[in-house]
Amino acid sequence: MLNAVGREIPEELNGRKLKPYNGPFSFRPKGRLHPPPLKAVFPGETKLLSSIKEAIKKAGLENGMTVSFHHHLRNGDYVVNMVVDTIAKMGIKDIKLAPTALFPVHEKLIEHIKNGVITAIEGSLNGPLGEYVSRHGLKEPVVLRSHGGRARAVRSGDLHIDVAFIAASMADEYGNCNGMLGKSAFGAMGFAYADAMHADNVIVITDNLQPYPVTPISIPQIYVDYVVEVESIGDPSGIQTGTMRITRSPARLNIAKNVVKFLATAGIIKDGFSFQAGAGGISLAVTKFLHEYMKKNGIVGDFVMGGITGFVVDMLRDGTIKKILDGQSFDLRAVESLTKDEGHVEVSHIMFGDPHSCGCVVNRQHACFLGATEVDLEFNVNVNTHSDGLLLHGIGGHQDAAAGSDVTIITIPLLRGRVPVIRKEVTTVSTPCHTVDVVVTDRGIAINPEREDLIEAVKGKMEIVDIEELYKKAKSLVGEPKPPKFDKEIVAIVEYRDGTVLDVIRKVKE
Amino acid sequence: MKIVGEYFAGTTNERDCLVKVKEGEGNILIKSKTKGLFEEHIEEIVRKRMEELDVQADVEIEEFGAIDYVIISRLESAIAKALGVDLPDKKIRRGKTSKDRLRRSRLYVPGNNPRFINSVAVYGCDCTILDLEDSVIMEHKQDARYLVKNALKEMDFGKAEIWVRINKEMARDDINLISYGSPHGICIPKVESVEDIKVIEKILEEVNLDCHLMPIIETAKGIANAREIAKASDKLVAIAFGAEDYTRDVGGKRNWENLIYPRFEILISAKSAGIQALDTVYPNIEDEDGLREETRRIVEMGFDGKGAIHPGQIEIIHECFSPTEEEIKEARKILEAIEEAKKKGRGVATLNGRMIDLPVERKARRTIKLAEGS
Repeated sequence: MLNAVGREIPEELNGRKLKPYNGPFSFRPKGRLHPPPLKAVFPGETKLLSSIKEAIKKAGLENGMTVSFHHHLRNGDYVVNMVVDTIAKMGIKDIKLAPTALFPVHEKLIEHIKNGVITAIEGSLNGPLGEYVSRHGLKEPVVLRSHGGRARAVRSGDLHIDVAFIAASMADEYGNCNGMLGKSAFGAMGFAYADAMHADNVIVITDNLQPYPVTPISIPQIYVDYVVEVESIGDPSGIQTGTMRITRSPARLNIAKNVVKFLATAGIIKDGFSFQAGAGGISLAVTKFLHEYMKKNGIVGDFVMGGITGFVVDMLRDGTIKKILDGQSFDLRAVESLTKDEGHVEVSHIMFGDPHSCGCVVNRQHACFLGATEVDLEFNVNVNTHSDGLLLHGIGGHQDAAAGSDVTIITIPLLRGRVPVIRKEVTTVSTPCHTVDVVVTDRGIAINPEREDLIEAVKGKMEIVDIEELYKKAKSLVGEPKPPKFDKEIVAIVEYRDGTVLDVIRKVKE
Repeated sequence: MKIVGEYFAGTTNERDCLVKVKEGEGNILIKSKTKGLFEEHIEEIVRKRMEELDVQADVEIEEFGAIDYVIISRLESAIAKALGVDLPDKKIRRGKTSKDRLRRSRLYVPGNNPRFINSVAVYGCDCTILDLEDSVIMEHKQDARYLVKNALKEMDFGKAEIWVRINKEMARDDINLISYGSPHGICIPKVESVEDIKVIEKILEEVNLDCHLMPIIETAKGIANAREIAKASDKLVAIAFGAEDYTRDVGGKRNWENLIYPRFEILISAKSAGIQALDTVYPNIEDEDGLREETRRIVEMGFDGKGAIHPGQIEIIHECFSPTEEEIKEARKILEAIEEAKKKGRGVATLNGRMIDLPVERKARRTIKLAEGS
């Protein structure tokens, strides 16, 4: 069956009935939240265990069960590898991994896929693991979800977690914990909330055990079954992975400037302006230029949601914005600010983007500016696969921010190397055209024709081009790339944040 | 024609490619990260160009994100090295630009660097100068000529006027090739005499290229002859000052005071010949305040533009050339008064009881032009 972005979606896959995507706000859920079991911890009982192995045993992990992790330590994380190695040594097999995301540091999991310890993954894949999945596939197709979409899946029971492992840079023996303090501090732990509240078993892993009760309390004791102390949960300098530096490329700086110019010209930046900040060279530059523009014009914003970096902290500290809502901290200045600045608070990814909650933060954002590997002439966006078909990135908060924000801007160069970014058709639909409004490139700005209001707002004040013109310009410079060759086998499902299916990713033909 | 031996062109830098041509039956080998996506396309454009040139050889291309014109440029340069001749091409047509258009900023772009050339259209400078001279080492001169030629032919440079800075000593070789790309103008470095301009005029005639000229004066001798140079040809639209070389030539140190005399000489020479005076580049790209200060001063002196060696300098330069709100208002009033007088058939316009003479009118028109440019 064809879904609302024209993709062919099988009715059933591995015994799971698939609901085709039918528009961003067309699906209303029924039923109740997924309940974890009732528990009791009586006075005198201890939660502190001596090893991960003991915790796994106590939690009753068996073949075929699901374990989850958060990715706040990003490419500096030690916990996923540590736990999966232990599971393997204990002889447990057929595990479904439900991380919020995996990074290059987790490449060694490929061994555990090959030896049958891991046979399914529901979570974002970045880099080598994604490439492996593209080339080989797992027993079951990987399920890719946005941050908000994953929170929804956990809360609704679409993704049932047997054991959640929560890395914390500070914890007490009764399970109260945070990521803000300690030698491995990583800042906000927004991803861990849904898992803590809905998993059957919750194990906190820390390298900084402190006397009861530790504060601030991000995850409270009431959700935590066991606590394990290890030597180190990770290398916090690894949280600054990817592109946490502002771009130096004049062409990309130009894109960032044009984003701010567009928002200003369209009359969107005014008192109360709130936006989602992100990582990546261009997004960081946009944040910096927005800061400069707002300061110069005496505009005070209500909040920034993120993906928080030092650039956002600067805005808070000089009064350009009133609040920071921090779902994950992208650099060490953000981590430090979270403990010090009053207006800088931690929020969960349920609050950030779960569409089936009583309203999420993205709904209150005026703007977001996001990257893409490809955008098509309909304004569909691909962030998962490259033009050669390989799955190399997760969805992140892309779908959520795009759906919620008043204006969604995609920032892309016309060409990456010799690969054109604007395509007739994207290799994979990660975020649907119905939620994407503007594309800002180094060779011009295009507006989704559905957004007549935006077109009207900048008419005569800024040069706007047809997206097809940008497509043709790129084609004249490099020709038309050949579409990648795929096998029939589906290796991943791209879910929309509401649980419907946007697209499927097939195995790449060698 | 068959090729004997092995010849290379290009580099392994980002957005570039390395092309090897050698004796063979016409096999094309492509090494690329995006091979699956573009192998056939690259093969097709390479084969087509080889057929046009009637050359038979094996070609190996190692590609690092090079777009089509870069691949073709490197191919041509390698073949030209093999054959020892300049390769013929089709000349493109380009509209002329007016002699007195805005030239507030002119950005020098290294002529052998595809990465910089590819993105130059977006910087918003008034003039883009593809440089074959100081930014290109001797071994790369020929590669750069072919790259600049093809860039001129294939790339969109936005609204900028597009120039090439040639090598004075290799003027014929440079102009011969770049003429296929019909630049708006040619910058001639180290001009010291009227003769230097005449030589270039003659080459332009030979290759049938009609374009603007901009001598760069950057030696003591050039300054001494500036007034004649400024009147040497009606193709001249501006004189540019080159302070770095000038300072070295006279054995001095670059600071504001030491450059006052040559700057005035350039200014007076250009203005008395009815062309634009363009100031030198500001070499420290980190020092934005220094650039702003120097540009403010040369604007006040009467210069029409300033050189830039980094895209980040363009916006600052334009800022300095932007008239104030009051200046714009005043200029509008003057032009309205002139219109009014014309309508009423009066020969002389007045504003607030004062006569508007030609210099006042000219200044008002320039102010409006600058305001519209920014």
